[in-house]
Amino acid sequence: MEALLTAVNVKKTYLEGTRRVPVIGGLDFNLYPGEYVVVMGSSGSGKSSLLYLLGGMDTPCAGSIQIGGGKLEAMDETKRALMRRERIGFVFQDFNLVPHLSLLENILVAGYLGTTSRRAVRERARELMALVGIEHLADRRPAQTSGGEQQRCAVARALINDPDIVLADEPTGNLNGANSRTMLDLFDTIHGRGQTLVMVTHEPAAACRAQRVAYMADGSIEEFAFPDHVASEGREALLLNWLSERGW
Amino acid sequence: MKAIVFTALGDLRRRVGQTAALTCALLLSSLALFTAAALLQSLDAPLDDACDRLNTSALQLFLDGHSDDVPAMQAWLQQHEAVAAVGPPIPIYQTSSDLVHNEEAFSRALMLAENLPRKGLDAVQIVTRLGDPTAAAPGLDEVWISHQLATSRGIQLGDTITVPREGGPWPLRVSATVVDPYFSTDNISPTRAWVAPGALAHALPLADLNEVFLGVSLHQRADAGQVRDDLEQAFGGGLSGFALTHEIAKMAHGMFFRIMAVALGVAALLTLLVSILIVAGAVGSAVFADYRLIGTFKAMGYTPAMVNRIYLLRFTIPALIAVPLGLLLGWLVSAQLLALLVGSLGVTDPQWSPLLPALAAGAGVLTTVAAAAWWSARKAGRVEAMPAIRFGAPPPRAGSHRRSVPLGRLPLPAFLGARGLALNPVRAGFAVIGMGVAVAVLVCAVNLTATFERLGENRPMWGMAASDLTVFVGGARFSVRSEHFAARLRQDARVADFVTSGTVQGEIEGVKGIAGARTGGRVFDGAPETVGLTVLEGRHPEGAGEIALAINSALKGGYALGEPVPLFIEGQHLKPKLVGIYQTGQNLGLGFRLHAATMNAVLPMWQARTFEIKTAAGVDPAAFKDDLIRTYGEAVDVGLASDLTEQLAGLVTGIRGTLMLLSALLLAICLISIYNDTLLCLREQQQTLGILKAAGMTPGRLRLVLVWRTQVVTLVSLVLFLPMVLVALPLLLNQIAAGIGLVSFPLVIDPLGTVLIVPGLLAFAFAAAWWPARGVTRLHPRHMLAY
Ligand SMILES: Nc1ncnc2c1ncn2[C@@H]1O[C@H](COP(=O)(O)OP(=O)(O)OP(=O)(O)O)[C@@H](O)[C@H]1O
Ligand SMILES: [Mg+2]
Repeated sequence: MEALLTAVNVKKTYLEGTRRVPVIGGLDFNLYPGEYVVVMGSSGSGKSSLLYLLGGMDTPCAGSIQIGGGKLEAMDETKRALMRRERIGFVFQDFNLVPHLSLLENILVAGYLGTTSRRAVRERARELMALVGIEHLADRRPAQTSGGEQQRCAVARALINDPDIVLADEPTGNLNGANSRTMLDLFDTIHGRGQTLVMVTHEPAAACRAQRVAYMADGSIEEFAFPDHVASEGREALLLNWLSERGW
Repeated sequence: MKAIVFTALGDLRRRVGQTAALTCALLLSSLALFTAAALLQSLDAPLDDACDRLNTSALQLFLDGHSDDVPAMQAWLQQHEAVAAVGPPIPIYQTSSDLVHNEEAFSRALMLAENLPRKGLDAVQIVTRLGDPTAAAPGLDEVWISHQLATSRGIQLGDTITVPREGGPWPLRVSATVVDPYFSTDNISPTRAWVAPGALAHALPLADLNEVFLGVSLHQRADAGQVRDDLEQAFGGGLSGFALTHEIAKMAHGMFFRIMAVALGVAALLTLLVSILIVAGAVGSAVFADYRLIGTFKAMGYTPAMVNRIYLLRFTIPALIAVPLGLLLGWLVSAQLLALLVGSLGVTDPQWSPLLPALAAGAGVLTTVAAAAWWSARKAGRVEAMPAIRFGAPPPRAGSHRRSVPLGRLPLPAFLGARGLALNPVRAGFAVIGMGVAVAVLVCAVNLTATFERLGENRPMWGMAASDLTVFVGGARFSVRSEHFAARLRQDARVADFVTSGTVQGEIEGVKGIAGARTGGRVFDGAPETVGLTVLEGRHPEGAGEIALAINSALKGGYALGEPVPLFIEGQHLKPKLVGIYQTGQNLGLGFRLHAATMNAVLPMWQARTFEIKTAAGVDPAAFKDDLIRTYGEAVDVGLASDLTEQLAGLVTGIRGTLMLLSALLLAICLISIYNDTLLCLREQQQTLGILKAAGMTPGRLRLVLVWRTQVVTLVSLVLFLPMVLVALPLLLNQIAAGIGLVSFPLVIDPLGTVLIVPGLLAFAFAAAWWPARGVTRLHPRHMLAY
């Protein structure tokens, strides 16, 4: 099967004044249609940095990232923006809803960016709100809703343009246990509908829902694929065992 | 306190662009304010000093020795309690046609005065001279001219100025330039020049030597006007010459600088207003953007007063940098301007103290900024820690959501721009007002420029005849009779129409101008309407016993249509009926118009000798003029309407320059204000913009979100202020110009120019916002939360 996203020998170094801070050094990564991949790694290992690179919000210092045949490093700001619009949906840890727009409007604002008719966008937004379970909150503002509701709205927003890939950076980081589980169930649901997903998380329990774990350390990736036909409790034990070998 | 300074400085460093914008605005403001204050403060002193130094008499009378009893007046003045001393009568002669310098004619009227001893009164200060350095007066064929005339005309020592006179030209060699305080400006005409004692009697026919100058020194300069009036009263109300008082001289001397000072002062206040708007807006949005941070400070134990002080400091630091710089620049500019001002008075070192203007401008700007910052930062003190930390934004106001712009069919940038405005309505309001100031200044500039540029076409409203040529018939030696000339014109196909007129001096009971009770009037032999002249009310006189008054004469004397107007003219008292009131911008709106029949009743030989001619279509007035001169020679004196335009060119350039300077200053401030506003917006909305960027909005459209905002602001300002100013400007001008007689100010609205302000300003605002909006391309998800 052809990869949806290919990263080859990607390097990223931040400049802090004159000091160079190498974060990612020569990383390879492939993502296939319909996959659900979790990115793990200690704090500061560069997970967020990787996600921004994959989503075209940032440019690598070296190496190549291809999405659907297009090379990100060869695109200018505008082309990358158009690429994001068509292919990528972001979910952030801090929800990042526009505070002065209602939940529905928060979703519409992203949907109206495309060329789809506004009526179709509105219909899809309603469907997605129903899917994530916030259809009754359409006219509320973010400050009038709970964290879990806000994050579900953010997921709906990420899905509005029917992206090829959803990139989620610790989507459950700010949520409590119950809300966190609802969110992960939601991710399972959309994955079940064929959505390709990459999620950064710190929780092994959450990671077990994926098909594959990419572990970041020292600027590169080691991968762990869950063997088929293992019950969920067994999956967590396997993963923990694999992680502890790598100093988790 | 340390914590506050630390926080404020940190904030300053982060927002370089915005700080620079504010610093520029405050710099311009203190520069303009200082210069205006310095000019106004130091405007009068140099002339006063020169007058003190030279013992210049506060009242200078120029009398007609034939009709005024000069010795009696002299005696009367000596008795007056306000008078300190009266100088001896000095013979003078006023030139009436063009002088020649270096074979080039120039049209400045000279008043030649014999340099007799004057008991120490009205001394002149020699600036440069030729020949014997001890000589007390010029030699027989020499002249001392004012330093100002020499510099403005480029006349050198040793040059010859030729004065026309009956018996052939009279050449005079310039042997010195002098300071003669009252005559050190273009704004007073004629300009006095000094010749040898006895030179006038030697060179001119006795019949021309009827005028004398009398210097009257007073204990108090301010009494000059009163003494002049008393004198007129005592001598039956008829002074035939004119009088110059210290007040008038002062006004004339500083006129240009006073206009400039007032314009600068207005500009300074407008700049200050915009600076206040910038500060208030910046504080408001800093508080908005720093919401979570403020909450965090509060949680850390900052008191409301401390939070308030952070912002106070943050915005007074740029002022502390900008104000001294602005004052320094203002000092340089003022020094240059004042050197120009006093140069004509022969003073090289204008003694002025920058202390008072500096204090006034500096304290003014600083306190204004501090007050604006403090006032708008009170909001920061009131931020509640809990919701601030939790939501990072002010809690939504109840119901505010309903009222805001719906996400309907608008393009996204427009919707978001409009939402941004609704988000911070106070700052949006400030932006609208700031832009409105620019709209107002531009509308005034465009239409006032048009008014003065087209003054030539609009002459009747200013009280001038709209003719193409003005011909005065009747030279002293060869002359053509009026009626013959008129008969010829009537047969001439090149003439479309004409009217004859003449000028007279008369006194109207209860009406007095600055130069005395005499007012210049115009007598028409025909309909003034021929050359476009109109009345505001009633009609023009059509026969004997009728008079039309200029509006200020009618108002001062309290005359209404139909009432008799006591008029003293050519030694006779008349009572013509007031039939019309007209407006004129000449002579402060004083004057009268009569019909020739009235004059002929008084002086049967009187003739109107000025012909106002309108040429037929396709006739070149200049060629017609040449032809008239070829035919009639010295018997006619021909002026072209285009000469007037030329004479006015200087005035028009000056006014246009001042208006352009004012507009440029305002546009600069506007640019700064838009730049600042856009940066603030970028900061306020960085989360929204970051999200949209992640969702795939292109950089161009992201920038449009910010640009749209200023477009809306500009459009609202235009819609609100443009019609308002267009309505208010004529009313305002009528009020202001009523003092000089233009109750219905001949404002020319330039429709094209005014309409062009709309796209012009929109394009300007677009460009001004587009540049700072580039910041959106650098947004990154890591910036999405302000902190
Ligand atoms: N703009 C920057 N300049 C310099 N260093 C940076 C910059 N952004 C990130 N870093 C550094 O890069 C490293 C990786 O950051 P990143 O946010 O990707 O880590 P992360 O794996 O997402 O961590 P966490 O799990 O805590 O979110 C960190 O050490 C961080 O300090
Ligand atoms: Mg991270």
